[in-house]
Amino acid sequence: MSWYTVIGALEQGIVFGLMSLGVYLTFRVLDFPDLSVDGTLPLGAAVSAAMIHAGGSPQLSLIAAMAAGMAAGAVTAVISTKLRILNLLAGILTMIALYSINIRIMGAPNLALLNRPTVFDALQGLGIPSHVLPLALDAVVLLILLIGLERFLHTSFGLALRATGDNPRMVAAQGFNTHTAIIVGVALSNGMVALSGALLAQSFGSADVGMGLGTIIAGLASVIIGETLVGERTVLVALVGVLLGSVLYRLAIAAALSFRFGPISLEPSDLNLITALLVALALAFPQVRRRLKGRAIR
Amino acid sequence: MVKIRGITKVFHPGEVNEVVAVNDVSLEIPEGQFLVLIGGNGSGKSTLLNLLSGSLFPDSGKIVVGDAEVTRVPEYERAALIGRVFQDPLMGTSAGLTIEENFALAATRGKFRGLGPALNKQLRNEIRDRLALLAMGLENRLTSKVGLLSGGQRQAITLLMAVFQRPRLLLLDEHTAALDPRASREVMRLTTVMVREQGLTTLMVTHNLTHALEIRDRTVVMSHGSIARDIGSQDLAKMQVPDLMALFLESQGEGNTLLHRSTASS
Repeated sequence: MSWYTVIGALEQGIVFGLMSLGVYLTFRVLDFPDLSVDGTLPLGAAVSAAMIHAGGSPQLSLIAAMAAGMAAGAVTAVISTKLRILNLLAGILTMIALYSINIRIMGAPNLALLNRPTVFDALQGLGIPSHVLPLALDAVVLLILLIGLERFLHTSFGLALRATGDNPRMVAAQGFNTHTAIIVGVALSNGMVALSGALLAQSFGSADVGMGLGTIIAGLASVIIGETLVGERTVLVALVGVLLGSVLYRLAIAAALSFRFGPISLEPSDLNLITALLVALALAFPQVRRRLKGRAIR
Repeated sequence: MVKIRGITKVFHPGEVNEVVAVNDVSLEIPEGQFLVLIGGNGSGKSTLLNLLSGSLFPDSGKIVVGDAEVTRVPEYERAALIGRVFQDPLMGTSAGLTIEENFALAATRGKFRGLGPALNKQLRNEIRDRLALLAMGLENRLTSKVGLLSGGQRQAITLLMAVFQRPRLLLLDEHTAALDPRASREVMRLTTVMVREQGLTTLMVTHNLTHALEIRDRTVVMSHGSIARDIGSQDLAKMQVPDLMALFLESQGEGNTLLHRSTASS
């Protein structure tokens, strides 16, 4: 694995870390397995790319992408809470609807941003080497959102949101509408995922309707790797764990793709297979560890 | 003051398994009264409690708590007036939140929950003072997650949270039934202390006749969705557990008390 690959994996880990924080918010905090993220990641990319293509500001396009993601998330949550459709199904409905919507937004299944302005241009000339520029900016955005999310989860509203995922009956008895918590929480989560998609499109120079495939799996893998490695003693520890999980996950993928054994080597098209294997491993890890510990005691 | 006027709740109306859980019940609980509600399984006491808390809405009738009619007010809004302790000790608290965070939720019950910090020094001090009353040493464990505590401790915390802001009505749903005898006795002791000290209007559902007779204020016996006996403090003063047991058995009558089908469906 070359240094360049490591930097690339780190960068992906950071951009997808933003998405993973969103997945953590739904999956772990709200106990709402939200599959709409497979559609809101490309939604963010599509909105941002389409705006830049139309001559809009790359910075504003990030905010628009986030707003679009939040709206889509709110749709999933409303379908689930108000129409009483199973949360998994509600997410799938939004996801497939977004597939068509994303193509509408871009006017085509993909949109290249060659020679178009991006948010990274503003930082040019600050003396930062151009190949680590996206990494630096993404890290700053990620840090801001991490701190914001940590603060938010300690507000009165945030507490009610955390308790909703834990014990909705108690939350109702303590006078809070759990539907409100779910709608706001899922919207915020998808806003972060869409922002992640927009940053991805701008750093890779294109948006593609298929780029969201497996988002939920990657996010979940990051969440679980983080939990397994650093635990969730406090909110901050859990959030940092998710980011660490995201970076490690990308490094593991990069390592697997550069694997070569005689005539056997892996192709980029094997990525989904590797992803599935890695996630299965991450999911099984706590169980395997428990069994090994149990054996040691006996 | 709580007024229940002619409320009825039918489950599965019009189907073969139709059950009239609560049948035209009227009940008035004066301010500061500690009412004990007993009755066999399927007598309708839990349904009545759920109608009061807002977990269920009645088919007809009216419920007033204090000055507010709450008949069809959703549970999360009504909670501003009502404190509730569940039978399951795990139900009243959030395991993933710390002790102080659970109390912060109780402290904002019925208030707007915005983006200000949930906890501050003043609130922490108040939580510590209240927890010290339990004499369980929990005042030194404010940042422990509630999931680490025992059932008895969690139920004591739920009780304290329910009365953290003085409720107009305190609902106790067999809240000692799932605890071991020692924890059960302790939670019952705390209950009477808190209710008496604050003069709370309270409705307690229980299967434990000994606990029922610890409160010689008023005992209501339910059977087949209706009120079968309403025993006042003067009669309760003379009663022993076997007396109450005899009254209880008599009021439940013959036949199957588990499934009471309405005559309308047949």
